[in-house]
Amino acid sequence: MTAVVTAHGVTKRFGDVTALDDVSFVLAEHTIYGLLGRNGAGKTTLMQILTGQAFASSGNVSVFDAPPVENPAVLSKVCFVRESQRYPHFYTVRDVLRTARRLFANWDDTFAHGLAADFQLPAGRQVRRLSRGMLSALGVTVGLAARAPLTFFDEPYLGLDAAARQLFYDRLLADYAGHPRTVVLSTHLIDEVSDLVERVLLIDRGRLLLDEDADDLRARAVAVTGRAEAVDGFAAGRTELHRERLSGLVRSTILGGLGPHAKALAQALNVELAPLSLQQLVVRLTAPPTTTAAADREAAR
Amino acid sequence: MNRIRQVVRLQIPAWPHIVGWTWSMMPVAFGLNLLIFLANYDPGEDGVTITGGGLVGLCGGAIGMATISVTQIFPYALGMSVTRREFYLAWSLLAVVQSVVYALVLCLLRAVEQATGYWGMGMRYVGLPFMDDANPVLLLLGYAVPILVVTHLGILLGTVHLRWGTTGVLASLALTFTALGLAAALITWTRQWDAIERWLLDQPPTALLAGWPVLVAAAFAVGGYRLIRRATA
Repeated sequence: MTAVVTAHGVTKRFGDVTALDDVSFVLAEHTIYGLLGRNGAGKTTLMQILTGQAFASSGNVSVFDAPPVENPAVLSKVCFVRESQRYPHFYTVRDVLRTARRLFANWDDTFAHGLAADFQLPAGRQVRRLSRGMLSALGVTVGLAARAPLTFFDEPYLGLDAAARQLFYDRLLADYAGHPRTVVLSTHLIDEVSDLVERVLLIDRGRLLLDEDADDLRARAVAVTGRAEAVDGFAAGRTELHRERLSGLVRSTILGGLGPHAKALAQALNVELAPLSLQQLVVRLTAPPTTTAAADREAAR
Repeated sequence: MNRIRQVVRLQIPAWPHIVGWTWSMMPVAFGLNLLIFLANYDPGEDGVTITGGGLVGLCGGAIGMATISVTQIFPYALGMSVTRREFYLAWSLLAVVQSVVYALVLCLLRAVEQATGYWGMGMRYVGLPFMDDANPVLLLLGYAVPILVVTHLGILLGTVHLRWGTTGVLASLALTFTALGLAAALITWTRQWDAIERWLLDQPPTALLAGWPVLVAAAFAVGGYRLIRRATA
């Protein structure tokens, strides 16, 4: 595996707030990553540090084997499409595409104009007069057409309707096949991108909770549904993330795969096993600690 | 250098506004100066009255536009993977070119002013008396360097805004005016105004018109660069 990004012990503090806490990971080349986490988890801050736009309080970051801050050799291979990207007041859509063409070495102008047409971006309109969806479409267009070896998309589809989001996924996959690169997708729409991402980084309250292959992650937890005693029997010795009551039955989210042993046990206990979606797993892993599971368990008894 | 040239071109879409707003101050200030001048105009009186309003309006416009261009375009440039150093070098280069072009226009306006007998009324609007004996190169520098100073002042204010926002700009202006006021008070208390005036009169024209102002512009440029190195979008 060729490492494109290496982060070691990255910490970022804003006064008393720790936005990132000792985060370490490696990003490989030619891989699509999902950078997942709740609002305020530290995703944008992390991407800003990786692209030299912000400074870590401590820790080391290496991008293409060098620190990214003020490093033109590194930054020439990086594109960061930020959800809150600010555009100059007087810029039109055409100005943005024109300046991006001049600044990104791998820029494909034909591809860019094709994307702009697909997203129905009005070339002559000032960026500040674009709707939220069109602004996102402009960011997506720049991020894809730049074909930077390392591309970050920070919540790229805010305001985009389902058709436009699908267009983005389709174009990304098609272009990725022809021009492999490392793509980091930071998003809340986890289920929508779950088939797209190959590896998942999950951040919660500034800490890196998961750094796993998406396929491994999908098999990592199961939803167990059945009578309370039967579910208790299945959950014994396993880590239970969540429990809820459903009309006399109990549904529990349990860490652990759907291996043959688990299937046999489920059959014996007469409980139903179902795979958990990536989004459900992320919700369960990042939910704030509550006493609901224990209360539900008691109620179910 | 090619990269710096590309970064300079980030300002192209804003040029009509930057140049337009800067120079639109000139005719407005000219009209106002003319109104005030005419109020006291005595056709029987000989001589030339200095207003200097043209330069004041232009310098004010240059400061404002430089500040706006930095605060507007820097966050975009950073998002386009431009380094802070590339951005600042590009903007400094742009300031030099812009100052020379503006100075050329001012030289031309000064020639028109002189050819028309100071706009037909003895109103010196663009030229300043201490420039009368300057050779063409010194004249050009005499216009270009002060514009360079105020443009870098605008860029410096823009970088202060990037780092600390409006509060930072207002606080730095308040501190600067306080420091200048205290310096003026100190000079008055120590009766040094005459000595300063003598020192200024002893300076050769080149030093006064170009030399010392270049040092001021360089100080602003260094200050702005140090601030932008830690700026975030």
